[in-house]
Amino acid sequence: MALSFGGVTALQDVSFACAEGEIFAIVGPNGAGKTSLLNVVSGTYRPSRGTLRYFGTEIRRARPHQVARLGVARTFQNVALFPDLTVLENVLVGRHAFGGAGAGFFASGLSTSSARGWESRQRATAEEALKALDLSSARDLAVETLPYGVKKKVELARALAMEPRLMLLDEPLAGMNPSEKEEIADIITAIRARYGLTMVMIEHDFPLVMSLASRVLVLDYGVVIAEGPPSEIRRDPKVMRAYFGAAGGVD
Amino acid sequence: MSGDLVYGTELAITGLLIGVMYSMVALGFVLIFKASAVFNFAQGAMTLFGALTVVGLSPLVGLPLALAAALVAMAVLAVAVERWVLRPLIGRSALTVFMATVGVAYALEGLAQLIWGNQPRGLKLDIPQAPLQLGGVYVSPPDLIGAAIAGVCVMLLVLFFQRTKLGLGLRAMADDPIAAQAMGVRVGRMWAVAWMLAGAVAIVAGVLWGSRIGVHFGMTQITLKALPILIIGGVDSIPGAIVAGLLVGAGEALGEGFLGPFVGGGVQEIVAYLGALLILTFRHQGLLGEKTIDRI
Repeated sequence: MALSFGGVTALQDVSFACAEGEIFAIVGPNGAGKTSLLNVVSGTYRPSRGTLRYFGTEIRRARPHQVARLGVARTFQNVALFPDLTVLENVLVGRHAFGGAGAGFFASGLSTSSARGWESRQRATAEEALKALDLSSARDLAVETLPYGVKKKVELARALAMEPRLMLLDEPLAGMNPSEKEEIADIITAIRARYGLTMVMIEHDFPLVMSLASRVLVLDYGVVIAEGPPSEIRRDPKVMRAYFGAAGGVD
Repeated sequence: MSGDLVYGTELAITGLLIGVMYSMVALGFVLIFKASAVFNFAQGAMTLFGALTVVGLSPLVGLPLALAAALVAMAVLAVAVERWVLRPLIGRSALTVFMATVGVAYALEGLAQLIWGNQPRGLKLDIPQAPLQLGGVYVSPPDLIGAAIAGVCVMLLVLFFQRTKLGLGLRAMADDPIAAQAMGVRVGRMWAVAWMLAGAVAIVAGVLWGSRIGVHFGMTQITLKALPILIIGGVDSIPGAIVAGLLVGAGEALGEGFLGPFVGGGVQEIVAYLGALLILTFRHQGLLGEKTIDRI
């Protein structure tokens, strides 16, 4: 898989590629352009120049829903669930691209019977996604009432329900306590192993990133300052300066 | 039952039955507002256009086909509005889009005049007019049937939102359009669906209203009648539109019946606006609306 592009205003000649099935981490100080980079990949921002390829298809001009329908799922930095929907309904939205898409909305929407068919067809996948995140018992709860850590998991389940080939995770561990972090990290590893999908992840927790990711891209002021496996990144003096403000090792 | 109580019950029932129709009109606005956060000024014109199409065609092809034709017209309108009005204005201010819907309203009125002329038309629905007596209380059959039809429409809408893929997509988009797009929900299509639903609601409202007061260009004033109802119920709440429509209907009938004689009439005209004023002062998001906090 080739995924490369260069140059949005917030990002200067950023270029990277991730291999199928790997966990690719993007790190960097606040304002480095990490989320912008993710937004470019997901089609939310359109890069001013450069190329963006997804499994060989040029998607630079694709709109977010088109990117999603190609199999790119994402989570958001500030949990972006649908507050008025139940947990299961949230996850079912992740199935929106499936079933009846080609039949047009007269087949999928205006006739209740066939549309109920849509729900029951998609429900199995949605339930499976809930199960993968240990959320089955929360299925009928209103999302708004859930604690933050559970909301983060619902977001992951919703992304997983899209059966993506590429998952973009924007700070999946942010704001969690250590045991929650460990749980999510385990889930991320398990999902990747089980479904063989590629993950691009933004994360601040340096030690966890180092243990999860197979490769790391370090951004600072919209520029790539390092890219490589965690063992190299850990020793890179430029990274240390940008990320920690001082030279030195990290464990 | 004492005379006053019977009179009051009759007034309340009449008011509630009319209120159901108010709710229908307000619903059209709420549907579009929820999907795209735009106040659709053209809802009144859509109501008129729908009613005129039904009235104009039903002598030629019969009522069911006329209704179907009106639905098709509304679907075409919805797709056209999405493609040529909403899509080019993505990212513009709500006021810009609102002004565009004012344009849609006038275009639609012009088109209606072009096709159907500007003479008022009567609409007969073959409903017996003689009042029914239920337990000592008189009820008007047209009001009763109108309310029943509106009630069925509301139930169908609820089912649509709860049970269908498109309904789920619309609810998701109303909550968080960016996240919905990231899930593969097509925003443009959802807008078109919302306008189609609003169009269907406009036809029902137009036909029901038309059967009471005739179909004429004054019908576009429904926009103004719906405004206080939207304010009372909350512009983003479907249950709010229903409750507020019923409240205003009952309030008008009871107010006119009991207070009217003392103040020389006209109570009916101001009840809705007084209610809206009170709501704006004490609970500006409406009875059931979402409280919003605007970041500055």
